This record gives sequence, C-alpha cells and structure tokens, in this order.
Amino acid sequence: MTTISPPITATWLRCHDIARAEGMAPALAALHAALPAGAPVFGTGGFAVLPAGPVDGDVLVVRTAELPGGTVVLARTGRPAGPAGPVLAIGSVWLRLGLSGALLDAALGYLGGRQSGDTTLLRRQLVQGAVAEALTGQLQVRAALTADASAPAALSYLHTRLTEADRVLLRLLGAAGFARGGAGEVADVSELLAGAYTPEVAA
Amino acid sequence: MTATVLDERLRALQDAAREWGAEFRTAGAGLDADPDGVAAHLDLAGVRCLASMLVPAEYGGTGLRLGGHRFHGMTAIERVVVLEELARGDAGLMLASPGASMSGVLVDVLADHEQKEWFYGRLLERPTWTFFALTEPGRGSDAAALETALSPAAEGVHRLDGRKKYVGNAARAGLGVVFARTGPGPLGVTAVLVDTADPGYRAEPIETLGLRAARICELTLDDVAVPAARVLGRDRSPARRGMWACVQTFNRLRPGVAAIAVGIAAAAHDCVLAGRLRLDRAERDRLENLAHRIESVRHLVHLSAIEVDADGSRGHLASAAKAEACRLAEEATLAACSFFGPRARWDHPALDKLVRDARGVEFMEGAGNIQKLTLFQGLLAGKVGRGEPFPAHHAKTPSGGSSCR
Repeated sequence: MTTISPPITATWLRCHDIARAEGMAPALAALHAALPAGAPVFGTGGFAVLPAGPVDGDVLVVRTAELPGGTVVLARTGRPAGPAGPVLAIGSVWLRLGLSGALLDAALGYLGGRQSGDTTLLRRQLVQGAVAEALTGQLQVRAALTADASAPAALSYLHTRLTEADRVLLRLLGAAGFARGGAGEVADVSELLAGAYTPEVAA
Repeated sequence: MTATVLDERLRALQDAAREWGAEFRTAGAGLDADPDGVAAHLDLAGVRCLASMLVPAEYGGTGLRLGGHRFHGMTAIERVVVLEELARGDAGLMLASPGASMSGVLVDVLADHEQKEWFYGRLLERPTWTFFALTEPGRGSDAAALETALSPAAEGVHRLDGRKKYVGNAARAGLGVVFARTGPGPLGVTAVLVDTADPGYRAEPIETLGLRAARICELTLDDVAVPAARVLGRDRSPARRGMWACVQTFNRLRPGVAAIAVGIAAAAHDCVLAGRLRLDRAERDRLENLAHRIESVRHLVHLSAIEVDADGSRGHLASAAKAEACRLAEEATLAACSFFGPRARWDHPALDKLVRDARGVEFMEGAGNIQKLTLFQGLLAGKVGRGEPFPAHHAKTPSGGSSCR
C-alpha cells in the first residue's frame, strides 16, 4: 500500500469538500494555497483555470465564467510549462469530484421539484437509474483516489470517468443545464480544468 | 507499486490466488464442453481453497495458511480477493467448486450452534457442494415475492413444497439452503437447511450459454421433510431472520459477485495482452484505458467489501460495485474482441467463452437495474453519496480473519 502524505491528502479532501459546498473558485484557491512556493499554476500546455483576480502581463484570459461561489478565468501563458506537479495533477481530480458531487446535489433538487404527470421527475425509475449511474461513477473515482491511483494514465482515466458521470447528470437537467452561470457551466469549465491538468501519458 | 487498499496480509492471499487462477484457465476450457467433469479437478489448489473457505476454526475448519497468515474466508474482503483471481482463471470452475459458498454466508449470519455443527460437519467429511435456492420461476430473486411454502406439520417436522430456478450446483450438492414462506408478508420469509438425499428433492440442470461448469439447475421440492431443527434463525424473532437475514446475507455476497465480474474483465484484458503482441499507439491507449477502468472498479469492490464487513447493513456501495462490475465484464469482453477483428469469437475460443460467461454475472444476486434502484434509495436516505464514502477503511477497521457478523 503506497503511503500518501497525510497533509496533502487532507488538502485534497478539503479542496473536494469546498468544491462541493462552496464552488469552483474557493476550491481552486484552496488548491493553489497548497502549492509549494513559486510553483506554477499552469498545466503542461500552459493552460489554467484561476479564481478571478489580477493576472501577470504575459497571461491571456480566454474566458471568464461567473459561477456559483465566485468568478473564475480560463487563462493561458506562453511561458514554458512543465508537467503539473502532484498537487495540481491529483488535486484537480479531487476538485472535480467535489464539483461532480455539487452537480448531483443540484440535479436532485431540480428533479425533486420538477413535476412529471402526477409525480416528480425524481420518482421516475428511469431518472433514478441515471442518478445511480452517475453516483456510481463518482464512487468509482473516489475509490481509486482512496487506493492512491496516481499514475498519469490512471488520472487521465479518472478525469474521463468524472466527465461521463457529469454528462449523465447534465442530461437530467435538460435545457436548465445549458444556461451560463449555473451547474451546466460549472461542468463545462470542469471539463476544461481536466484538459489543463491531465498529465501527458508517455508514448 | 500498484495502487490498492489491500494490506500486506490480503496481498499475500491475492498473490497465491493469482497462481491458482492460472491453473483454472486450463481446466475451465474443458468444463465448458463437459460441465460434469469438475470432479476431476478437486485437487487443484484453488478448488481446495474454495472447499475450505467459510468454515470457521471453532467448527474444525483449518482454513488456508499462507506465510504467517491464516484465512478462513469468513470476511467479504477475503472472499473478494480469492474470487476475483480464480474467476480471472475461470469463472465457471470457480462457481462449480465444492464448499460452503453462498450458503456458508447465510449459515454464518443466521444458524445456531447445532445447525453449524451439522452444516460444517458435512463439509469437513469430504469435498461437498452446496446450493443456495432463492430465485423462483416467474418471481426472480425478489425474496418478498417468493411462493415456496414451508408448512408446519406434526412431530416437529415441516414440509417444503415449491419450485426454484437458476440454482448453481444443485444437482451435485449434498446440502444447501432454501428460502420459503411460512406466512404472508416480510415476516413470513424464512430459510431452511436441506439435505439433497431427502425424498422429494429433485434438481435438473438447465443448459446455459456460459458459466456452464456451475450446472445451474431448476429445483422441484415436493413435500420434502424438514426437521424443525433445520429452520435457520429458529431461536430468533421473525424480524431478525427472514428478510433481515436476506438483506444481511446479500449485502455480504454482493461484493463477491462483483469480484467475479472484475475477474472476467481482467481475463479479457489478459487475452488481448497474450494474443496481440504488437499494438499501435491508439490500441495501446485503448487497452491501457481498459486496464485503468478495471483497476478502479476493483478498488470500489474491495472498499465495498470492507464496508459490509464492518456493518452488514451497509450494502449500498456493494450495489454500486456489483452493477458497475457486471457492466464492465460485458463491455471489457466485447472490447477485447475488437482487438482481434470481427471474427474474434470464432477464432479465439477463450475469448468467446469469456463473452458468454460475462453475461452470466449480470443476473446473479439482483440485476444491474435493481442494484441501481437500491443505490438510489441509499442516496435518498443519506446512507451514501454524502460525507466519507468508505468510513470503515478510513477507520482502519480490521479487514480479515474474524467472523463477518
């Protein structure tokens, strides 16, 4: 059994919990606070998702997203960037898992309040099955993180699995998940976050 | 080092089971054509392991000794580790092996001292198959809907009447358990120990597509005499035997079924590694992705087993693991075929067998859609999906060696 440094595990857990309870911006702030001094916040390709705030002159903000919990910016830099360190590589999976949990919470609230015939959507077995499918994906990712899966290809798979789970939930939100500023946009930025920090797998 | 939640003791068991599984692969191919040939394989180490599992030391079980460790298979996590590796060798032979198997879990949960002495005593005499009869024709595995009747009769002997279907090893078993109804409602469900030599017991094998060695049967129970002493949970209130015992037992069995499914998926992955020595980049990526999917489902199965070992009522994770693992088994075997072209199943009998076997785990112990509904109910009830999902693992609960109660 590989040993994970307890302080880092605690940081990832906190980042996950903040993402679920408060949103992406505060969770990113918590993750960045755990980085070693001077460590870059940009991933391999020079991309990053950052809490809104002043950026360096050589950083280009390509999109601003006003999300629950605070605004984030999608940014890129021309500076040479190495592979993301473990804090960002593994932490981004934990963070996205928390966001996926928040999406599940949002979906339960939406489906529980949406009438379908003489009942709510949440009482439809087809919907219940889809919710369970998404939750299973989240549990699968959590299990892998608990087992300390940290190889680049494993992290890449976990990001893919989270995107699958999110997409199942998004389909339950209908057009409500297509509007900017809500759960649908959080999931969209979450996918871009995965793209920024997924480690390159050696050929 | 490969990521895992298993401790050093369980990894030793896993390593040994992996070696035994390799022997299963060779033997299993023959059993697909001749399911009754299983008796020729009783000396295989994996078969002997299964025959010894679920017999506690206090009833004479010797268990398995590996290095400085002893294993009796009384915990779900021990069974999961063994079952996956043996199923990776051959799921049919694994299911066709003698031993306490599913009945052993129910006996551990519900039997009294005298019943355990009888049950374990029979298993210790010689390699003995057992059966576990819940499913009924037209009613599936819904314990609340079962119709097989246990009628009280004179002089402390009950009579058992009904039909059961899809019961593994029933035609070769010496004893087993039957779920029956003594009255209406959930409190009217009970389970009894049955000796297959008793008049009125008849088992007929059903031809199946896969897992053929397990000789899945249809059972007819025609006025079978059941002494009162063989009614499981006789010393308990109705609320603590029938449906309660079903739930406790199935929660503990479910990770094992999931492990068999993971084993089948891993075997399909092995087939590609062995049969396609040169892969292009895209194929390598696809195969590696499959490997990571298998590994992450394996972690979930392990953690779900650790949770039910800590608390037998905590079965929602096992539902998630079972549904996901069975889907994985089907998709992994089909994905493996795609590495060999459209005639993969024609050209590679081992792969063809895995594709057929994979379909067999889906319906065991509740189909995937039922598991999803169970998981959903757990989510609504706040038992899963919020907070720490694996509390027992995090509390470092001992995960092996003691009874699963």
